[in-house]
Amino acid sequence: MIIFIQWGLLRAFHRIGMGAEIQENTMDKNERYIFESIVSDMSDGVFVIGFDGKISLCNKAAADALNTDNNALIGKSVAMLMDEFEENDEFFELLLDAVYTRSKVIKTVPFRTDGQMRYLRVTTSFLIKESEKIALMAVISDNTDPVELFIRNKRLANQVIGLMNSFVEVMVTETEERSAYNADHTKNMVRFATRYLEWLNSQGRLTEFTMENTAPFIMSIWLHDIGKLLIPPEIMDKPTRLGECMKDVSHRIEITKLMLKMKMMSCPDEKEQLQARLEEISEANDLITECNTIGFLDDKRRERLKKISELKCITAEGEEIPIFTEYELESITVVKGTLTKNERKVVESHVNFTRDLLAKMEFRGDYRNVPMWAAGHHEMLDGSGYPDGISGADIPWETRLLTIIDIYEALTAKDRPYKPPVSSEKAFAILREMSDNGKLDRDILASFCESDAWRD
Amino acid sequence: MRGVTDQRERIINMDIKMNSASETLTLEIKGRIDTKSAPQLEEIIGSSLDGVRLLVMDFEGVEYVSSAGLRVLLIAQKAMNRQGDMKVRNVNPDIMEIFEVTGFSDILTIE
Repeated sequence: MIIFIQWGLLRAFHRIGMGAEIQENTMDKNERYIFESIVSDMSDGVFVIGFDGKISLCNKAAADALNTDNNALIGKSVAMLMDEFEENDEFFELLLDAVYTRSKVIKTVPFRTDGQMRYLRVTTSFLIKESEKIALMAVISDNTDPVELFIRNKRLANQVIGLMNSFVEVMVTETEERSAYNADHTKNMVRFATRYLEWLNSQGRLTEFTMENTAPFIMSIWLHDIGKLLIPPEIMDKPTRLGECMKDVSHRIEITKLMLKMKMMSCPDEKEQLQARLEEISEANDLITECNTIGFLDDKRRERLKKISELKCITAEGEEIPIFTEYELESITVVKGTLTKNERKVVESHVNFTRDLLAKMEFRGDYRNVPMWAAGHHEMLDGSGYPDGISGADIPWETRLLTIIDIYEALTAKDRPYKPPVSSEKAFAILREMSDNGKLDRDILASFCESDAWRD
Repeated sequence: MRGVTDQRERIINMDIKMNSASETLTLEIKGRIDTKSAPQLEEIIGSSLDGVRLLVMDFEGVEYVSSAGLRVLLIAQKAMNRQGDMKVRNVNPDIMEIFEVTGFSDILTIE
């Protein structure tokens, strides 16, 4: 749709654009005829609003696009059209934009008539003449089909993304709930992260991290521990140092006690010696029970455990066997936590599994970095993390944030079997120490702490 | 959570001072009359016109009028056509240009 007021525009037609200077009354009859013919035959709608604020030219295509008659448009002002087309302010807004910005404006806007909505692609130019008054020219094409196709594609894409998000959410939540421990780890992390990103956004700082679309990052949180699916649950959730083996050890000790008592009856001569052994094994039992659930094993207890590991138990067949198997001794003497070196390696390998699993899935576009963000959540800035030991700039912002939220949630979780929860203050103290030691991003940590997104 | 909306965009940058003397209502408007602020102006006008014979809109402090703002002017003008007069005062050159190119200068009484 083009709107011109002055026919003198013809000679300037090729110069129409930003603020083209135009001469009035410079068009002769021939030129005017050619111009009119061109405009009238154009498949695009054209209308011109003249220097007097009224439509001076309008072709049929323009009238069709506006679902009206071209004679009904000539001589009308925008004000009159606004009165006539009440629901189409987006259309009029772009005419105003051309005047305000004094530049060419190209935009696709919805246009509603007779209960139908169509999309018009409008190019509006303004023209200044010597007197500084302006005319507007608009070229309109009906873009309804491509726009509707775009909207439909967008809707389908959103359906797919929505399905994918809900699928991941449900599967991860249900998988975690199978474990008796820390069933809400990922869900809590997603909550903290969502709140944190909203807070960042309210501060107008979200775009500092070029995260216009936060959904892929949230997706990477949902998936960060997906590799744990491949870790045996008895290791993943090992609640005590001895875990399931505690039953074996107890059983072994109970049999030994019974055997000693029986022997005391059958051999009264050895009673004293047997009694001493019975006491020794009972004390060992107490120590093992105590150390089995302890978070940190001091040197003194460790030495005592090593000493009692030399004790022998007696089987029901009367055979003398060591009190611990090799694995049990290693487990009960672990300095911190519940896992042996090998078990720790197995648990740590979950990030490799996360990476391997996600590598088999197709993440494209905005989601392309999801596997990298998710699999890097145990990497440390100083290179001391795993699985790849990458450092510094190789660890993106998203991974740094994910790591901090992961550690915070793990520290404060109330239902971890192998350690009691710590307070938020203590958790941040630990995180700060890690950032002081160059492991975590100091700025992200400070910002996350400031956001209060971590509060229950 | 695609596209967290920017909270800051919702701030309304318009201020209206009302003066009523006998049958004249004067609205001193400051700032931008845009999609966000226009409904507020429309509401004020809609609820204040009882018994008003002259509505004066002082545009001295108005920096910008969008199509939504023009629509409110159109509504106000129509209402005042039924009960008296409306005048728009102190329009700056940029907005005057808008009034002219849209033909609002023909509808409104601009002083």
